[in-house]
Amino acid sequence: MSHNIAELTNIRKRFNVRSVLMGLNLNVPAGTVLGLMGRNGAGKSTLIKCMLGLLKPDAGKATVFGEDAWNLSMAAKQRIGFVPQTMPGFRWMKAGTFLDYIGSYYQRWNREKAFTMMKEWGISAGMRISRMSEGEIQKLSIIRALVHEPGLLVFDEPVASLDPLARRDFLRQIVELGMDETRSMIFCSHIASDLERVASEIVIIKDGVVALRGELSTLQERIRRIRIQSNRILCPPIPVRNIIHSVVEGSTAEVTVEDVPDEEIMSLGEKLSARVTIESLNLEDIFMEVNR
Amino acid sequence: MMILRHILQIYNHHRRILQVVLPVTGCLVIAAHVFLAIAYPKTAWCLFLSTIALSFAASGFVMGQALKEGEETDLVPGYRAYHMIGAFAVPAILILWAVALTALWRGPILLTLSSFLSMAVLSVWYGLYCLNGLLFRDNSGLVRYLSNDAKSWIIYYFIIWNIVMVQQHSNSMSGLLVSFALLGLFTCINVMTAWFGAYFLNNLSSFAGGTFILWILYDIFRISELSDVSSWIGGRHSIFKTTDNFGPIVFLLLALCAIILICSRYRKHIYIFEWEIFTYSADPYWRNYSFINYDGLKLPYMFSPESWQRDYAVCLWNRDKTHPRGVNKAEEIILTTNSRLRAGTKPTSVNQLLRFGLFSPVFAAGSDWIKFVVFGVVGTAMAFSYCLTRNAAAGVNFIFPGILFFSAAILANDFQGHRNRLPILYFQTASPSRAAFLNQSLRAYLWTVAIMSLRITVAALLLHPLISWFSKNILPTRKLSGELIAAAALFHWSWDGLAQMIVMGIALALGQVAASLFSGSRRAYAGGPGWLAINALLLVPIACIAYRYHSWQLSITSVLIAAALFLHARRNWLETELDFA
Repeated sequence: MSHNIAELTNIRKRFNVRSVLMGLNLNVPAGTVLGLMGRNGAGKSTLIKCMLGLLKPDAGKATVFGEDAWNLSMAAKQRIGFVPQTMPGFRWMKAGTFLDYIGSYYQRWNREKAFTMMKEWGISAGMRISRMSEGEIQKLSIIRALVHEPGLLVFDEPVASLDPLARRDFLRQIVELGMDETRSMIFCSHIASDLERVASEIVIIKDGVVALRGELSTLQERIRRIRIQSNRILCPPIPVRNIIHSVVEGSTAEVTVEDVPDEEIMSLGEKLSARVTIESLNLEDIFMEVNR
Repeated sequence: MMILRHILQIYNHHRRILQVVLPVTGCLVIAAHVFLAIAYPKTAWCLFLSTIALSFAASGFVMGQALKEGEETDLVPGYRAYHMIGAFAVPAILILWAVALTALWRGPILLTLSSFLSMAVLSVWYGLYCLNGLLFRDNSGLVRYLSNDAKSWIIYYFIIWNIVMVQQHSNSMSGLLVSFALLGLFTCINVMTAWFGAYFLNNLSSFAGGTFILWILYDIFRISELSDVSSWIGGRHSIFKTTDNFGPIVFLLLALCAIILICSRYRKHIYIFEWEIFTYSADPYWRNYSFINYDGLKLPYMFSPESWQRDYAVCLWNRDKTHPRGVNKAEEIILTTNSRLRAGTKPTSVNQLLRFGLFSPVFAAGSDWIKFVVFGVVGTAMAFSYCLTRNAAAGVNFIFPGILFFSAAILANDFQGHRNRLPILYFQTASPSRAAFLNQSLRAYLWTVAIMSLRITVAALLLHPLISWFSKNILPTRKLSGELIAAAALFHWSWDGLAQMIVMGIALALGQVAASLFSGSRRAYAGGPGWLAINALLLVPIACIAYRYHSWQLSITSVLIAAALFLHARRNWLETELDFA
């Protein structure tokens, strides 16, 4: 039975008058690649920061590797890799110097791997960070997070600035890293196709809590779209349970439902004298439906 | 270990608060220091207290530096603790320094020893601070890291303290040596520059400016590049391959010049005579003496009645044999001084005498107007050139030290000129009859130091928001507004500051306009190659003026800086070309 690498229990965080996290619960089992989605301001970054001890929650408990996130030991920090949205400071350093400098703090820093990755991703070790493009800086940040072989990898919008080649390469590495069942990853991104590719579980945050969680295939089974084409004018509401969202226009309707068996859906055909089809949704559609 | 861990935890929990609390505490202690300086002027505890205040401030800056890198660095194991060691080590060293300063009051030998001791400890601390990088793989990275603001602040403080406290308390020899030790903390190149600055400008006030100028050069030329030894010993990098290497080459040449000059001009007895002169100047016996003629020179016409040079002259020229110590020494000094004049020339004016004299080449001679304008233009132009070539948003970090040095220069000048005395010397030779004078001098001394500290603090607090406000609301370019604010801050210092501001403002405006006309493109931006080139051009007449009215040392310095700016402009230009491409 796999244990949890990180656990958040009833986390609350408020910035002035605005509540961002409202009693959020989340656990990250070992060997999981968790794809984190949410609208802008939904609290994804806040969640990550609370989880990593970068932000103190107003209430609740966050643990990483069994330790209180706010008081992480050196040993625990050695096992965490984090790629923030924007890499902090050090702009005056050269890329190679930066990696060496950061690497000096880690016991298991794989310098060779770092420089190999830099070479593969076309980053010159002698180039100053201040002269790099955003994409290059992001690559460097990713390299920094990967090469000390962490047990928990957290990526906060890591691929936004990457070119397609680097993005593909990065995702390939993530997939490879995800094969290790002792390692967990949290991958926060708006690019649903990336998450579909790498994430073993999807978590959608909405209004400061986890709105939806599950494996992609499970989510696709749970959330489905029903298209109804009737001979007569349809009147809302459509008689089906667990509607997430519905649009009724004349004799047609489009209804997104959660956890409704096929039989119940198909029975709509008889009830409404209509032709009913069930559509599977991709992750982006699911995200859209949840956030409507 | 438990205690350390506990402190680490406290620090980790409250670091953001500490970042604010420590500097604020520092300011409060400075305020207390002001009060004590007024209430109890003769106690050395004021010095002690103010040093502790600085230590708090420095500690806060170190922490601030660590925080500046972003909160994500919290996740780098040991990163915070590592900086915390620095943050706590700095006050520890400063307190040690304060103890040493307190001990200084017993005499110059102890002064020198304690200075060295403090500096030695500082060196050890610095070494330990770098050890982390050394033990691992990247010492150069760490050194470069430390060359960022935190180090600058610490060093600025030490330099200021060094100038204001130590050199005032001692002769130039110990001051020079302390300066040497202070700046010698970095690399051998820096040591040379320290000596270069101290020797070339050889005066505590001009030393402040000199150090700052050299500091600017240091950064402009990216001396840290030297740590990349591989690029110097061949390999795949050619020394002439990149424009980046021009800086170190020029700097090496400068250092070489400095060594040659030091070797050729160094005289051991120089400092002995300086000490004697200071001693005489501090002795009221000489103060009442009339001036005498020498080769037909009417010395009283040459010196300001309020100037300490009067005593120098009295000491130098007096042949009264009634003084128990004066005769031989005075004659010897005359001989020594004469031997240092140009071959075949006799002093035709006291200015000329002093110009070729052994010390005080910049501030001892010349009118106030000239020295402030010349030094002001050079100093501020350099400060702003430096500032503007860097990140404008962080400009305050670079303007501020300039102001700091200016204040030190003015302060030092104040002591030399208007205060007319080096109070500590009175202390050392104090007798009961002089007690009142001693107290008065000390009071003035401590008061000035306290006010300076206060002004610095206020300026630091005010400058940054003001610059932001100006940049948003008044002026289109953040950089130019920063200049004007800094100019205004300088104005605050004295009426002489007004002259500086006007001259500097005209120079900057001309530089800006000329640079715009010159290229009419992105190259014209403040700090860009056109701007730098214009500034360099402006320094040429300054160098001429300096040579004509002031000192050849300053003139040479101006020329060197102009050359440096040209080189920097060239590099900047090439980079801009690449940008355009």
